[in-house]
Amino acid sequence: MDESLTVAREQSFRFKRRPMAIAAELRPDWKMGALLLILHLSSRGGRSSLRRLHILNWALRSSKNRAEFEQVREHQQPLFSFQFRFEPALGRAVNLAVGENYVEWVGGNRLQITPKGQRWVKDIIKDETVMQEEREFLARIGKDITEGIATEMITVKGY
Amino acid sequence: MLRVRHLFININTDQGVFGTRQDFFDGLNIIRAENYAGKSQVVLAIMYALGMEGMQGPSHAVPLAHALTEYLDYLVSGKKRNAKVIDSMVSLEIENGKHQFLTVQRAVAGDRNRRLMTVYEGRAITKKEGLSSARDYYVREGGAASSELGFHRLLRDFIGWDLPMAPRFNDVDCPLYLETIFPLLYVEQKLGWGRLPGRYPTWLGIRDVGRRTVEFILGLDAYATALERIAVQEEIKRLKREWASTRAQAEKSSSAVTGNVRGIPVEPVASWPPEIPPTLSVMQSAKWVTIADYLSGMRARYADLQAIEVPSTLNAEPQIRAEMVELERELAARERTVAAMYEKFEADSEEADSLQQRIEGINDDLRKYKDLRKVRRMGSHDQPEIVTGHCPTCHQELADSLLDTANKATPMTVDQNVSFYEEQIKLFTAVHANAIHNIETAEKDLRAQRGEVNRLRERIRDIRETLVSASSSPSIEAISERIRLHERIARVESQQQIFHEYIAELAQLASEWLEVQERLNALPKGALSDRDQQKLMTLQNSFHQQLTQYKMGSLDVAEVKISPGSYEPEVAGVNLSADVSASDLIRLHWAYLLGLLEVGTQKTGNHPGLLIFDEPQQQSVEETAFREMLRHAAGEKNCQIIITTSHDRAIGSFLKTIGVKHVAEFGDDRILQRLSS
Repeated sequence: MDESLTVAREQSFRFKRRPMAIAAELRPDWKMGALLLILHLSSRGGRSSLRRLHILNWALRSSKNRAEFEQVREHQQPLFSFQFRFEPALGRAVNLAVGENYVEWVGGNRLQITPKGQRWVKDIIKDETVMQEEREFLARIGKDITEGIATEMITVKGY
Repeated sequence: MLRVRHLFININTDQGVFGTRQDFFDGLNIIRAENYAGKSQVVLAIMYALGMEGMQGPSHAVPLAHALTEYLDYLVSGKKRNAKVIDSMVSLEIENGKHQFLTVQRAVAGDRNRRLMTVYEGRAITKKEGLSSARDYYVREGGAASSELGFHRLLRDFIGWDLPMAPRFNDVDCPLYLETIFPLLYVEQKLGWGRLPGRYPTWLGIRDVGRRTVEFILGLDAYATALERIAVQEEIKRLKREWASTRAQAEKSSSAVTGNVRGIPVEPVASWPPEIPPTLSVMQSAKWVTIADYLSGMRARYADLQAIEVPSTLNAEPQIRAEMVELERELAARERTVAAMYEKFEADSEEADSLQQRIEGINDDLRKYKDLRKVRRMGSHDQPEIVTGHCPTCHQELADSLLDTANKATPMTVDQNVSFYEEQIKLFTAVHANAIHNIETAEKDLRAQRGEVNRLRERIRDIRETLVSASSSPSIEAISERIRLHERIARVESQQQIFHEYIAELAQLASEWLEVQERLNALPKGALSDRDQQKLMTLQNSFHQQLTQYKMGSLDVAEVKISPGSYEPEVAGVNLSADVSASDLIRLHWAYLLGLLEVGTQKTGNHPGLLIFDEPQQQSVEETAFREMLRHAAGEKNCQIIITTSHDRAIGSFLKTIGVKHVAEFGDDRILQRLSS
């Protein structure tokens, strides 16, 4: 055996856990910010169902996703051809946002932006450089994606 | 240098000829008369005679009073009479540093064109010199400062000024106009005082006009330095661009012989050739050899072939059959090499692509993180509790992450994460650059290998053709080898020639690079050279000394500094025009202009040594301060200072005590008097 690979018995090893790099998408306030932007810019009355939020969250997530989503919309292809996923992180972000009182559940199945949430999202919008790509995307698609369409997308997919 | 020697104002009226004659001397000249006597008209007439009224604005109206243009009051035995002006003109004798004289004459009222100046070489008024040399020049029109017949060009040359070019707003550069310089030489009574450092004409559109003018008057290197700095930077940019393009062309041209250029530095270098000189190499039997070796190899082979006769097919056959076997084996081996290289090349390209994607991905995430920082700052008044690391519902510790909470790894902080990403980008960019370099090298190798494969194929084809031809005919392969070799030698030679030309070009660029580096090193560190700083320090010292002498009251003298940026007086945190008492503003004005005169008349300055104060005792400046100013002005060397005043006659004895010889005392008289009837 190679000498350099052997370890004297009395030497002890200590392992230290290093902090881990994570994507900005997985930071709670990024996700909450995105959630509030969706509710504010692309939801009627600042209110949306969770499944609709999941669709828009996935569409918003990366430039690739955004491009795919817009292509589906522009070419009038059936919306179910947009392949999306339920992102667990969104569920956690929603729970945290409810806890922080940025959003609240209304009627049992709709998420509604609160006045506190409104204040925050308006601060974000005031600075044009912040979350620019995301907000431009949401402003482009506007409030056209209705609950009906969202239901249809999920139903056809068989979820 | 410029001196005013004699002024003659001549007014023809319906009541006879009126006017004045004034001599001016070196040193301090005082014109004392009562109010309304026409003192200002005397100094204004000097400026008008120099065509300098443009310093007060773009107007073409005559700046002189009605006494010279419309009607003139005069007294006959205590009674006021009125004379109508028919025509009038001013004539002025001036002298320069070489003791040359010019007499200029310009119409005020009457039919004569006011834009024309008649210029005589010599003292035409007092000595009747140069009367036959009269020549007309023009002022206040385009080209007056630059054209052969422009009076300001003549005046500029007469004074001996070499005017710098000044940048303008929205226009091409222009020479610094004389109108911008004279506000530092002449202070007009009504609007001139209290606007420190001077009332520069803005209508000429010169940028930073005050700075440019003071720089010129003091002969500072600052502007030249700034221009040089820009020029050097431009030159550096140009050389870098040309270097990169020559380098790229040299490398590209080598592809004509499927060659490879090595050793040209990416950035320009000052010493040429570099320690490892650049080479052009060509592939020979799967190895890179220098083009010189390659050529001599080919030439030797060609010479060998030339020495023997072309064999007949029959004679050549045994030898070429053997060669054929050898060639085919080599061809197969080469093709395998090429295929393997191609595979590696493809893999490398793919890796480069995926690296590129990875870099883009991290960049996008980095952008999100930078936004996230701002979002966090924004939420500060309703800050989400999660940012403090606690659950908003149960207030227990919570990681700053939306990953599955079962995963116990702690995430980096946002700042850690940002710097981690920045590191990653640096790393991946380096790896990517390396991959690109590998790809480029592989491409060259591949091209060279393919070139060799083609040549092997050609040779095999030639041999095959020979083997099937009539046995008595000359061997085709032997002939075509000669032809192909000949052609290739010619091609490689011309390529070698082209390569040498590029290298010569790089050598030229390297010597220019060395030169520009030397220019860069010669520039002062800051905006001001040592000499400039010296001058500004002298100016500031004189300025301080005078302000103490004049007893400035509203500011501590030591706090007033000459700004190294604008060269104007400044006090930290104080707007001089607004926060200083009106009389102190006058003191500052005197001290500044006299200070400029002192520093600017020294060897490397451009001050003409002429300074005209029209009624400097403004804003009820104390008598003592005014007298100290006169005392200071009387002590100035190498200059001519003209001061008008309506101070009471008693000043005469004071002037005597400080040694002022040239006092024009008009008593209660008008200055413009009847010359003849």
